[in-house]
Amino acid sequence: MIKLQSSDGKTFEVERSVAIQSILIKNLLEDLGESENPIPLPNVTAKVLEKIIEYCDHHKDDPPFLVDEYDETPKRSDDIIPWDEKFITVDQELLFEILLASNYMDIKPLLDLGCKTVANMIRNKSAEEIRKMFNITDDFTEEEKAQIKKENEWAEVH
Amino acid sequence: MASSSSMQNELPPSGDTEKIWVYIKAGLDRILHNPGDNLGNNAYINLYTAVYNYCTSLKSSMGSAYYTANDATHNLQGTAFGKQLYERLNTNIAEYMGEVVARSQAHTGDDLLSFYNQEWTKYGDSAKITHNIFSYLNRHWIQREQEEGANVCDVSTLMYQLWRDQFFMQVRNTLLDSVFSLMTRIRNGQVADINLVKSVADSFISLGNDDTVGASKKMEFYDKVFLQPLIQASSEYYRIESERLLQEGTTIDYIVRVSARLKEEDDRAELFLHESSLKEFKDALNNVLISRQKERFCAEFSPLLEARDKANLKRLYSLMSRTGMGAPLDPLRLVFSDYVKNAGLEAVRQVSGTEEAGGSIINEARLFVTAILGVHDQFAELLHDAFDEDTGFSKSLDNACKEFFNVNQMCPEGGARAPQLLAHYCDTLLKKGSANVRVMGAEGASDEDNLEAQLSQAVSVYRFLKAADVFQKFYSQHLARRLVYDQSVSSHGEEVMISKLKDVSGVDFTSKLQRMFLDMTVGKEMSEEFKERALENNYKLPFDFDMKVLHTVSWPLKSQDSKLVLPPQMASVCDQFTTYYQNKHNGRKLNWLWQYSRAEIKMFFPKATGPAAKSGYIFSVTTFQLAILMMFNAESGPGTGYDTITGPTLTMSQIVQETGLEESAVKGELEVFCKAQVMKSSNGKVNDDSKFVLNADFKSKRMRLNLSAAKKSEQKKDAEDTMNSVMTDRMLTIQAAIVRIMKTRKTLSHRQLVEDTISQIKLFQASVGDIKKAIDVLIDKEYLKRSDENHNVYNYLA
Repeated sequence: MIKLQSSDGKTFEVERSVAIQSILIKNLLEDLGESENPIPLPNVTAKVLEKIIEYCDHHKDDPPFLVDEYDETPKRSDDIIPWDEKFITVDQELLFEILLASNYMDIKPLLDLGCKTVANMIRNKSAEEIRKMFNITDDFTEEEKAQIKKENEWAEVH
Repeated sequence: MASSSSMQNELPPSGDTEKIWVYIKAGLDRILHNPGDNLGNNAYINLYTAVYNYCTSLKSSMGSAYYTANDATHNLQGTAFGKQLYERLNTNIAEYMGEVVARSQAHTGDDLLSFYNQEWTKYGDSAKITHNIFSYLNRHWIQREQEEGANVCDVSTLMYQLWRDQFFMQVRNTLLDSVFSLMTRIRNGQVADINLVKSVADSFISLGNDDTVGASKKMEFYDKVFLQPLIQASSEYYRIESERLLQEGTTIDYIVRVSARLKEEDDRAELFLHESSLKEFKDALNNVLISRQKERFCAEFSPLLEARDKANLKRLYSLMSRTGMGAPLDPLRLVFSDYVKNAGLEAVRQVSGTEEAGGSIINEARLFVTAILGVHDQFAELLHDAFDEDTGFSKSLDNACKEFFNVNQMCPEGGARAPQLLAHYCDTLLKKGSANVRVMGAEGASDEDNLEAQLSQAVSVYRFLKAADVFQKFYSQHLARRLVYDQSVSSHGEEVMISKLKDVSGVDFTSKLQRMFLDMTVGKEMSEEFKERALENNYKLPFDFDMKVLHTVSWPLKSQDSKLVLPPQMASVCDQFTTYYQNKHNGRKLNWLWQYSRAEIKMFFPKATGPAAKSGYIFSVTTFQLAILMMFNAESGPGTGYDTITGPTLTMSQIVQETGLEESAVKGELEVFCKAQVMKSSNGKVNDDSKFVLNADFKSKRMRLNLSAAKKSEQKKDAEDTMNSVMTDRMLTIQAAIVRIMKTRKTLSHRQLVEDTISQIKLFQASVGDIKKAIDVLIDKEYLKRSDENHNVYNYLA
């Protein structure tokens, strides 16, 4: 069993197959070997870690996640399996914390799941709507806006 | 340790990249110097997190977690921190490499190799951990730069490049000098550890093999910095040794020494060279030690063959074959072929013309075949022992055998004699009563095994025959006689031979032979049935009678020209059998082949002396002889007093008239009778004036005499007839081949047709003369027509 410790000091004991879905943990175990000592994760709170462990536990028997460098087919965001869909249906704040943690812990499938979910949220929405949804202050100057519009003209639907 | 105490310090807060770098550097130095020293979970995670924080500094300072998440794609400032960290890492490791260079100065020779290997192993561990600690940099900044085509590489690759450029290239010459000096000591017989070289060489493979080079170029670095210098140094070493060896000793000494040397080098190369470079390395040594001396080796080959020095022949062969299985060995194969050919000719010359060989064709055949087999077996053994069953040498042996087997002192040009002799030899092996001719086989082996072994040997030279058709013809005739006269030594032997012949000559030939065996079986049953039938019909056979019914097409036997008038006693039995056979197989024609029939006859001579004077002498005779002798039979039976009567006195013309035989045949037989003193001639000669009478005073020490043995003149005539029949068959075979070829090609030039015909006929060598004759015949028969435009072109007429 591997002990993981959240930034707020809570320790979780998980199976090795669950833990090593985080490439960070996997490398650490390979480099240092297993020990009794917990592995601290200073960037991840207990709340988020618990959620991540739930995800890793569910996926512990999945085949290894392989990145095919030569795969030219466009990435899709509508291929989320029902369990993942349900898992990721959380409030926005937690969603972004999961994204950050999976990036930090190097859990590629979870990072992908988060990114797809965000992509689905902003699809078919105007910039104004997106700002509103994510509570973003519009801090661009008019010149900047013109510049951005010009650069992205090709992507506009005509 | 100072660095490790700083490791205990708290992770600096994100945002302050300078402090973070100090923290990272301390950890990095610790990993580089002591990769085996376990960092512990806290320090490991802290270092990883420090790298993470360094790379994401800007966003943290902007205080928006959301913004950070989206930043994975575009953030110019974030990119700047990645680049800065990458450069700092680069500089820091380069400094460490400088330190290793400095430390290496204290070492030389094997010691330097050990130092290099130790540092290499340590560095490998460091690179692995560092790569993982900097995983965030790898995954984000480095990957993005690479995607945009920038010249950066992942941390592990970066570290190996630094080792290569900042350390190895600095000490390269000293290091390789140490490698070669170690190898020279091993080659000189001193003890040194080749594993030191292997480890160094392996490091070059890793150094040349990173993601920045293509798959086909992964060995380029190893090849350039190690293999080529190694080959150069080794070639030079052996060039000098080679010259010294040739000055000091003979070529044989050289061959022995170099064979051992190359074996050592082969074994050693396996220990330290990468498998992909073995061939190039060996080729280089082969070039120096073998190819440059190949003329010497070739010159040594003949004397070694002469001495049958298998060990050195084997060495010489192995050395030459190292340089290639084709061209380098061809000169040796040529010498070998010539040598075998001459040995074969000489072996035949030695037995040819001896008294023994002149005695009879049986002896001649035995001596000839034994001589041939002796030479063939001897060199086949050499082929196995010294030349590793090399296919080229095997071919040379075959070619040589073909040459000396077919044309030699005993066998003139034309190729018909050798197959005849071989056929006679086989006949001798398989014929009853010639056991004395059989050479004794292995001790303890059964007669059957010996026979089988000898048959195998005989068949083994069959493939060297240039006129296999002659062999086939004679073999068939011999077989026919063995079967007809019940002379086969064993039916198992015959079967073995047939199956061996099938393997070398194909089924066309052996299927004909097999049909003869079938007739024999059927005939035996028929003979028994006939006798049973006679018994049932109360027909008493006047003498013991046996016959064989043979299908004309399957048997190479001639039907009789002259009409023999059978003695009445025999005629009645033959008539009975003919009737029986006609009833059984209506419509079949039965011809009696009297010249192949034999009889045993018991004769009583009135005043005979010797062991069988009273019981009667038994003569084996031909049917012709029987018919003649029966004419001299005195009326016998109770009261005739046969023991005082000598029977009639007859002239030749009387005998000719009565038997219906040719006069020349009758004359021949009478000569045999007179010579054997069975008869007496009134004038001591055998001519028209002679009167013949049985010799009442006949005497012999033996009870059994054979008068039926073929006369020499008949044997000669038989052989001639057989050859004529071979020639007739050849003509037909050639014609058939021409028709086959023309049928597909339709139009062909004379030259092409001749070439194609020769290459199509495998059984014998078709002569151009015969082919021309065959073409003329086919033109006459209107199978072919000369082209109107070109006289040298033929057209096929369908």
